This record gives sequence, C-alpha cells and structure tokens, in this order.
Amino acid sequence: MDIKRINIKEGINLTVITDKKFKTDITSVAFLCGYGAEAAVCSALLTGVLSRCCIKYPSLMELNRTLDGLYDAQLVSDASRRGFNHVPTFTVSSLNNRYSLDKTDIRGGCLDVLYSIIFEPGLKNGYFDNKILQSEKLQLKDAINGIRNSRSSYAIRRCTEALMAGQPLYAPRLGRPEDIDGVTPAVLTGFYRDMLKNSSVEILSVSSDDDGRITEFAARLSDMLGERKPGTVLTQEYKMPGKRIKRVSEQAGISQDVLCVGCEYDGSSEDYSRSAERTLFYEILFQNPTSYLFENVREKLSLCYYCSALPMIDLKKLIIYAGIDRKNAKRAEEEIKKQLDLIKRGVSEDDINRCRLALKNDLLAVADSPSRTAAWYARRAFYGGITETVQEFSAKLDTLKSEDVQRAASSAVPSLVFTMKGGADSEA
Amino acid sequence: MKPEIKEHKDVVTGERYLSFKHKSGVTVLICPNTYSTSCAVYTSRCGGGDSKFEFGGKIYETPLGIAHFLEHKLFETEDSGDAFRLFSQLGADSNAFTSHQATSYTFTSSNDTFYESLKILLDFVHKPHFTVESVEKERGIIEEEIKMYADSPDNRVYYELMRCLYKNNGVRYDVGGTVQSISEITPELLYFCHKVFYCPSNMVLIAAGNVDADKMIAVMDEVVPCIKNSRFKRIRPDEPEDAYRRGSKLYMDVSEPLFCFGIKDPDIKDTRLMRRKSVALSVLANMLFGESSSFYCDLYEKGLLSGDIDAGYFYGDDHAYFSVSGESRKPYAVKKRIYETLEKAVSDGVDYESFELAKKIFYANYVYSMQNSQAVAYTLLSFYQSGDDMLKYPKLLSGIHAPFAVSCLKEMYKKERSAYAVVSPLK
Repeated sequence: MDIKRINIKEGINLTVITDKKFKTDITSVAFLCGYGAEAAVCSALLTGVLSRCCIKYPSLMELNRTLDGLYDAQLVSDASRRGFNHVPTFTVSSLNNRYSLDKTDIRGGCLDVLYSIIFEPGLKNGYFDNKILQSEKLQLKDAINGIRNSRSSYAIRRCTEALMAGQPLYAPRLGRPEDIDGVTPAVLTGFYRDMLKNSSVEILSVSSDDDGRITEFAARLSDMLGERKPGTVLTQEYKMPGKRIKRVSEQAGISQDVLCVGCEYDGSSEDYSRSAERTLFYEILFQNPTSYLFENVREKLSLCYYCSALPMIDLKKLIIYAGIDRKNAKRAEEEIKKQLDLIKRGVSEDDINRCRLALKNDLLAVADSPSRTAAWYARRAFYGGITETVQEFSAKLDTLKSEDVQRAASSAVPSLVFTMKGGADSEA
Repeated sequence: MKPEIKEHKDVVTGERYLSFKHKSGVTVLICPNTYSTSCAVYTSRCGGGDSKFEFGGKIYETPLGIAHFLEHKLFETEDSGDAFRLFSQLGADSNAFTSHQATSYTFTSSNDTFYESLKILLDFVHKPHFTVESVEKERGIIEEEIKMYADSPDNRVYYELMRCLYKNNGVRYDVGGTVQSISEITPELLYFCHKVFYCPSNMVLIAAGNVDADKMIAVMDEVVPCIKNSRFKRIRPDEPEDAYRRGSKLYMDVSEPLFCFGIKDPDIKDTRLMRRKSVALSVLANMLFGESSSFYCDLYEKGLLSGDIDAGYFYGDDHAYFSVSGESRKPYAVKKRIYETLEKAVSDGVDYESFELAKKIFYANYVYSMQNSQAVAYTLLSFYQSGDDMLKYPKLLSGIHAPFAVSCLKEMYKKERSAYAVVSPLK
C-alpha cells in the first residue's frame, strides 16, 4: 500500500492511497464547516439537495441512471460531524476500470459526477430550487424521526442530548426537526457559498493505482476553490462529573427497556498519539466477544442480549448501553459500573494480549478493504493531517501495558443514566 | 485417502475455487486468495424451518427456535469454557448465525493462525456440551434477543408479510422462536437435534484466504469424526398456492409507516429454472422498483417514499417470493403504485435498455462481494446453498434478457398470491 499526502493549496489537502489488490475506487471530498443548530441542518440539507440533481444530470432519475451505467457506482452524500463541526462529505465509490465489461471509463465518469454535483448545482435565480429544498426537508425530517425505529440508536441519541444539555455549540449530526423549517433557499445557498469559500477541504482517494487522474481532479477542484485557513476541529472541554448521577427516563411503545449509562470521558480527541491506548480500552471494555461487558453482563449474568458502548471522544462522552428487562435494570447498571471500575484498577496480561491480537488482526482486515481503509484515514484527516499509517498504528499496540489501558479508562465516570422504558404495542 | 480435488475457474474475473468431499462426508469449498486475513464458515443444513422431521422411522416435532438455541449453546466447551475465548487467544474473530434453512459458525483470523482457528471451529461444533444450568442461563439471553427483535419494526413488518403469504411454511416464524417455545427446550432435545443435523454429511465447510487444501484436510482428519451419518427427512408442510391472507396492519411505536409487499411463487420445483428465474426476477425487481426507476424517483420526489427501498426475489429450498419494502407516510398509495407497476410490466413488457442497465448493478455487486476473505466465503456459501456455482454467475447473468424476466413475472403474478403488510404508528 502506498500513501501520498499532498497539500494542494492552503487549507486544501489530498491523500492518495493505492494498493494493487483493491477492486474498488473510492474518492471523497469533505468540507469542515461550522457548528451549531443551523450548520447542522444546513449541512444535512445540502448533502440531500446537491445529490438530487445538477446542471448535467437535471433529475434524480438521470443522475441515478448515470450511476447505474457506471456499474452501480455509489454516490453517498453524508452529513458527518467532527467535534462540534459539521462536515458535508461527498463520496463516490465504484468498480475499478479493469472490471468494466464494455470499456466504460468508470473512474472518469465517477470523478465527473462528483465534480458536477459539488460545483454545478442547478440553481434558480442564484438560489437552490425551493421545490427540491422542500422535498429534501421532508426527507430529512423522516430521517431524523426514523432513528426512533432503531431502539438503541434512539436511546443513545436521547442520552447524548441529555449529556450535552446547555452546550449551544452542539447539535446532532442531522440537526433537529424544529430547526429545519427555518432554512430557506437563500439560507442554504449562503451556507453552500460559505462552504466553498472558507471550509477546510480534505480530498481522499483509494484505488488500485494512481494514474494521475486524481491529481487532475484535485487541480480542477482547486481552480474552483481559493486559499483558506486550515481548519481545526472544535471539541468539548472535559467536564468533571458531579458526585450525583442524574437520571432521565422516557416512555416508548417497546417491550424491552434500553439502558444507557452516560459517562464524562476525557479521550483527548485531538491527541492521536493516544488513540492506540483508547482503542485497546474499547476492545477490552466492549468490542471483543471476551470483553468485560459481554462476558459478564451478558454471558455470566444473562442480563441482556447486547451490551455495548459508543465512545464520542470529541464530545468527551462515552455511552454504555444494553437492552434489558425492567426487573434487571438496577443489577445491569451496577454490573456495568463494576466492569468499568475493574478495568480502571488494571487488567491482566492475558486481557491485553488477547485484545491486542484481535485488534491487530482487525487492522489487517482494514488494509484488505478499500472502504475501511478510506474510513480509517478520513477519520484522521482533519486532526492535523495523517500522521501514521494503519501499520504504524498496529505496531504502537505492541508497546501498550496495563497502565496504558488504566489511563485510557480512568476518566470515564458515569454521570447520567438514561432509560427508555417500554409500554406495549397493539395488533389490528 | 486424499480426496479428489476439483478446480473451478472464471475467466472474466479471474476468480477460482476448489471443491472436494472429505472422507467424513463434509463438503469442502476453498477459495484461495492473497488477502491478509482468512475466513472459514462451517454450516449445518439445519435452520429455523427444520423443526419437524422424520428420523429412524419416527416423526419428531421440536420447539420453534431450537436450531437458533443450538447455535448459541454450541459455543460452550466441555470445561465450562467457551469457544469465543479460545478464538480470542488467537486473535480470531468468531460469530454464528441461523437462517430458515441453515446454521453457520464462522471465524476470521490472520493467515498465520488459520489452521489453529479451524481446529477450534470444527472441534466445538462436533463436541456439544449442554447442562441444565447452562441451558437455563442461555434461555435468559435468548429471551432478551427475542424481545429485541420484537421491538424492531423492520423485523416485524417482514414476518407480518411472511405470515400473510404462508399458511403452514416455517418461514412464517421467527428463527429465534418465541419466549414460550424456547421454554420447552432441554439439554436432551439439544443433544438429539445435534445428533440428527450435525452429522458430517449434512455439513459444508467453506474457506477463503491464504489457505492450502492439504493442510485443511490434515486438520479435518484430526478433528471431524468419521461417524455413521444419520438419515433424516425434512418434513415440509403442504402450502396452498395463494396467499394465506392478503394484508395485515400492526401498530408500533414508529415515526412513520413501514410497508412490505410480497408475491408468493409456488413454482419452485425445477431447480435449474429457479437459478435463471431468481436472477431474472431480481434484476426485474431492481429495474421496476430500484432507485433509478420511475416508481422510486416519482414517489421520492412527491415525498411518498422515505430513504431507501428494497426490492428483490428470494428463495430457499421450500419457498420463494418477490418483495418490495420501504417506508412511506402513505403506504396504501404506494401499494396502488406497486400493483400498477407490476400490471403494466405484465401487459406491456419492459424496456430492454433499462433491463440491461440493471444487470450492470448485479454484475458490480458480484465483484464487490469478492473484496475480502470473509465476503468471498459468505458469497460462496450463499451460492452453494441455492445449488449454484458462484463462478458461473457472470455468464448466467449475461444470458438473461428482459423477455425471459417478463415471462417469469407473468407466470408468478396473480393478485391472489400477493399480500401487503404495514406497520403503522401507534394511534
């Protein structure tokens, strides 16, 4: 695997990763935008509006049929978040040209679609088409409200909102439904122009070979984008939790409760030199089938089917969650806290070796997969550039000891327990 | 005695795999490659639909969910340890899953630890260890799993459709069973089902990665028992041609309605035809209802469809159906459009060019499924289970055209065979 990092111009970077074994080409363009409620909904709406159509492909059907013709090329417009910043990201992935059966230039076609949807939107009188915007507002409301259908995801979202209450810079990744109606074509167009003018830009390419076309593509993008200040991700300060655990609950028409133990957690997000110890801590806490939560809360005590966790290092939070029977709620909460405390007191050499091996094997699988490779490097790009390869990160795991895991775990302190409590559904 | 190893090759994509029968009776498929990890999947043809069977001249009916319960319990080893921990010592990632017709146990490991991991896999699958206490403990975990799926609107709307389409077939039941049915499961029942369904001749082992056939055979010789294979006969209930019920509506705590439309296909006996038909109807489903169709784009633009839509043709050894599912604030307006779209295709045929375009999607998905050892192993298993040769797929796909797909649709489509299930928000 070959990795090249090129500074195109101030605030615009290109990362080119090539490996002969990849069958897929992936190219993404990510814009580091602002924060707060309006930025969140504008980022989410913009990704929807831009991927609906453009001058070259004036309808959803024409755009989608073009992608089908490029051997099912996938255009994914994603509103992601780094810290408080919202990051509209446009990604196209497709088969490598060598798999084309009819000499279609898949790679060229994909780069062309990506360029067109970002830079050549079909504006009306200088603004986004209100009809398309209204339709995407409806889609966004459905997407936000639809999270309720995934019970654990919804409980995590509600727990995060409770943990982040009073922090005006925070907004969920897709924004909040109540902020959607206020976005007019003028507001969204203003957000779009500001994104092109001021946002820090990361271009990432993962493919089997570097035929120079990605550099040409980046130069084309660069012509449309002036110099800008390199962006930095704004993150939450670590908040020392109080002694009392806050309790929040919500009723839902479900048969199994969802318990979330929300922790304040100093993951030092901007410091990637500490990411290896954090990763090993997660493996030992919840990711491995022999993790403390899986082996004890589920396997030994039969309190749940799933017990996992979601670290949000940029927000300095860690949420542990489980689907439980109401009668087991207290016991499950106690056991979760107990397992966290046990790790803080130190883990065995066997725990370290087992989980380290699992992580190292998983990193081998990352290097086999173009999409996982792209995700691994894209996650790091806005945090001071890409400072280490997957292989270097893997080597770093070899040096870790129990005290490193203890240090990574030590700041995780439960501060809020959120429970989504069930009622019953009915049949007609 | 070394088995005869057959090599299969695809000249278009350059993929190849090997197949042979191990002396124990296990069928083995190996897809060698140069990825950094290797994967093995060991599958018993024992799934959620196998609760009724004939064995030793007697008919048995076991509780719903027993295949899935067995999947959970086999990970426990003789010394009250568990196989997860053994895999973990090698850094291998292990898992298992149960479907209507099979149960699979799998691991992904580094190439260095593949054969050691394989030994663990084969060993725990063939050495069951159940006690009253451990079965009781597992029951609690599985009950929570059943409740989790009961809260999943996607799962509920799917099974509502299955219960509409099928009157007797086991696909109408969740593979996990119910809290009531699993309460009847005992260690004795688990041992009995293991004896019947986990005999080597009912197993297939698939491996993908930097794997050598001779080394695999050596591990299998050491671990897989050469026992007398049990003879059992699946009992599949008779099933009427028409849908059992034409519709169902369930209320759950959801943000907007979910819908699942289906047509039952009773014509499943000709296995050669099934291969061609399943590809043709899958492509047609994508063309008529996928994201480039006028059906999808029009309803999306009008705000009548939210997000993605799933459309396809699915079949197993005793059932087949065509389905379209998604989310809509007006599910009955979508229902009307589904019927109109199908009836127009049946009466007027479909556009040749659009059909050929949709075929490109299926070819691409085939190549995408060869991206790492785990994906290759799962793809190989999926083709094997439907009686297909994975490497013949590109040729099969290229030989299927719109008129054949429309003729399959005409054969299958009858309103009386169709049903529509909806999960609506609580009133």
